[in-house]
Amino acid sequence: MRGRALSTALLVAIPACLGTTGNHIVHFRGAAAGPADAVSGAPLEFTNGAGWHVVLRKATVHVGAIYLVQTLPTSGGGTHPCILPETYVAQVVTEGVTPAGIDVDTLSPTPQYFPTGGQGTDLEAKAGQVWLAGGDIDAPSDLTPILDVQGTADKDGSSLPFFACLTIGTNRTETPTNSTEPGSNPICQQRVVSPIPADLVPQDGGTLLVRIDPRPFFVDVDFSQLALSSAKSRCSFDGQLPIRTFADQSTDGESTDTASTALYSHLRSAGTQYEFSWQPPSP
Amino acid sequence: MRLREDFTGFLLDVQQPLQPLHQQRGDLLDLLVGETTFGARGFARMKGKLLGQTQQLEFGYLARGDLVTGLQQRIDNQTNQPYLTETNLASTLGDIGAYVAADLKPVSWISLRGGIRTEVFTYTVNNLCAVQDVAHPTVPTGGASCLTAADFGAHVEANQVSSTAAARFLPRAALIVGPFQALTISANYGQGAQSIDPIYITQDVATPFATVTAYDGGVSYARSFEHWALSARSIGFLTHLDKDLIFSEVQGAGTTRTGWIVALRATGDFFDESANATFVKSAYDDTHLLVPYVPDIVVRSDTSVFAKLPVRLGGHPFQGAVTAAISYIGPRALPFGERSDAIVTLDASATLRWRDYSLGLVLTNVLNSQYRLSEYNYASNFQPFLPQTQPSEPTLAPMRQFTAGAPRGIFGTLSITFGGV
Repeated sequence: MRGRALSTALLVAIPACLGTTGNHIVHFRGAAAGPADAVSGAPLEFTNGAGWHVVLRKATVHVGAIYLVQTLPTSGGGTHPCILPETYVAQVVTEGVTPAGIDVDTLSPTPQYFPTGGQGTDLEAKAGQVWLAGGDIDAPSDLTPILDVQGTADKDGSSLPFFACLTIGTNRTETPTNSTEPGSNPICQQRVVSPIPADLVPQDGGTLLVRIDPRPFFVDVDFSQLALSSAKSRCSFDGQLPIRTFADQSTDGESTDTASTALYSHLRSAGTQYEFSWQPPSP
Repeated sequence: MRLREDFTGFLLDVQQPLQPLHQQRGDLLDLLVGETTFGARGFARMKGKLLGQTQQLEFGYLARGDLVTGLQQRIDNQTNQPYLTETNLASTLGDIGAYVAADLKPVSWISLRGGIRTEVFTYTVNNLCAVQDVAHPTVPTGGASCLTAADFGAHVEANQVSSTAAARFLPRAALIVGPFQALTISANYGQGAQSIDPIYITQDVATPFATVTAYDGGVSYARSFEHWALSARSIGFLTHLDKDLIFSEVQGAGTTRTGWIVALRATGDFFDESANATFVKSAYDDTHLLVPYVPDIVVRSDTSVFAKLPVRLGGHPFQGAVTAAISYIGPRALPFGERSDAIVTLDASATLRWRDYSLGLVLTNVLNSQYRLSEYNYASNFQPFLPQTQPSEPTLAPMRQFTAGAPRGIFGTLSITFGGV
C-alpha cells in the first residue's frame, strides 16, 4: 500500500518538477467607473474649451467588453483592424445578458463590476480596447444606447439644458473614400475605442478597472448649435421637452451640427477619457 | 486525404479593406492533400575476415520522388462554401542519397558501426495562389483570394513557381560492447534532416532544413530460460532539433529533448508481457522553457495470457487468448504555465481460435473513463454559436480547449487465414 502510494506520488510529482512553459493563466474581475475625482450622487461640473460651464446630471456609457493587448500598435500604419493582430492578454466579456455588457455610471467613482469574470495571462499589457456595443461588433444594426447624457450648459448668462442618446449602428455609415477598398470602413471600427495606452500585468484575483471620464467628450462642444427636439429616444428622460438634443445620426463622420459631430468623435477617441488600471485583490 | 477542422471558431476572418463588408464567416478549414510517392533503394554488402572477426562494408543508395498537391480553404459557416483560399500548392520534391557504412569488430565483444550518408533535396513548388494582397489596386477585388493584378493594375498571373535544392551530410556511429552475461552496452550518435513545408520555399534561397542531432546510450539484457525468455533495456537519450515545429504552426527556436526509456518483455509458454516507460524533458534552447504538448511521462503495459483449451472440434483444439493493455500519459505542459490532465486508459480483448479461424472481442476504454484526449491553450471564439438571445463579444485571450477521448467501445472481429499460419 505504501509502495503504491509512493509510486503514484512520483508519477504525479515528477512532471511538476520538470519546468514550465512560462507565464500563467489568470482569472480576475472586470469593472468600469467614472473618474476618481467624481463624487457619487453628485453632478459633475466643469468648463469646456468653448467656454461653457457644463453640469452633468446623468452620464452613462454602455461598455460591451474590455480587452488588453500585449503591444501598443504602431501609429502611422493606417487604420487598425478591430481585432488587432497582437496577442490579447486579457478580456472581460459578458454572456447571457441582453444587451451584452454593462451600463457604466460615469458620475460615480465606485467600480461597477461586469457580471462575469475576466481571464487572461500574466503577460505585460501595453494597450487596451473598450468595445462600445450591445452585441456582435460587426452587426450593421445595434440599437443599444451607448451614451446617455443629461445636463445643463451655461455661458454668457444663457442656460441650455441638453440631452444626448447616442447609438452606433446603421445610423453611422461611412462611405469608403476608395471604391477599390469597400471594406475600409467597417462598422466595428466605430464601436472599438483603441488603442488605449496601458502599462500593467494581470494577476490572479485582482480587478481590471477602466475609468471613463465624460468631461473630454465635451471638450470643444458649442451647445448653442444644438437644435431643440421633442422626439422620443431609447434612453430614459426625466426633463422637460423640447430640449437641446445631440443628433444620433452621422454620415461619413458628420452630423447635422458640429456639436454632435464633436461629441460622437470624442466618445470614440482613445484619449484621456479612458484609462486602464489594475487593482490587486483585497488582503 | 481530405480533412476538415476548426480550431478557432470565428476569430480569423477579420475585415480587410479589399474585401466587401462582411461579418466573421467562420474558421472551418478544408484541407485536400494528394500525394504520389515513388522510390528505390539498393545496397551492396561485402564481408571479410580481419583480426579473426567478420567485418562488413556496405554501400547503398536511396531515391525518392514526391508529387504533392495541397489545397487549404476556409469555409463559410452559413453557406458551406469556401470563401478564402489560404494555400494552393503543387510541389515536386526529390530526395537522392548515397551512403557508405561499416560494421567493424576489432574483437568479438566490440562492434563499431558507422557510416555517412549524403542526401540532396530538391524542391519545385508551383504556388497556384501566389498573389493574395495588393497595396494599390485599381479595380475592386471582390474579396477574391488569388489575384491577377499587382500594384496599380499591373497584370500578373495567379501562380508563381519557386525551386531550390540543398545537400546534407549525415553521419552516424554506434558502439556496442558485449554481450557479457547477457548484458550489452551501446552508445549511438546520428544526424538527420527534416525538410520544411513547401510554402516556405523561395526561389534560389537556401532551403532552411531542420537538423536533428541525436545521442543515446544504455544497456540491454536478453536471456532465455527453460520455459520463458526475458529481454530488457534501459536507454538514455538526447535529441536536438535546431528548428522545431509546434502546434501553433510557427517554426520556432531550437529544442532539446532529454529522456530515459525503460522497456521489458517476458515471454513464456502461456504468457507474454511487454511494458515500457518513457520519461522526457523537452525545452527550448534559448529560454529553457518547456515545449508545450509534449508529455513528460508515458507508461504502457500489454499483458497476454494464452493456452490451448481442452475442447477439440474435428480433431483440432481451440486456442484462447486474453489480453489487457494499460496506458498512462502524464500531465502535459501547456502554454502559459498550465498542465493538462493525466490520461489513464484500459483496453482488453479476448480471442478464440480454431484452425485458420479466429473470433475476437475487443473492448477499448473498458472503464468508460471520461478523459481529454488532447488539450490546448489558445485564443478562439465560438460565441456566435450561442443563442441569439445571449449576445456576447468574442473571446480573444487564451482559453483551455480540448477534444474528448472516445467512450467505451465494444468490437467483434472475425478473421480467416488462408495458406496456414
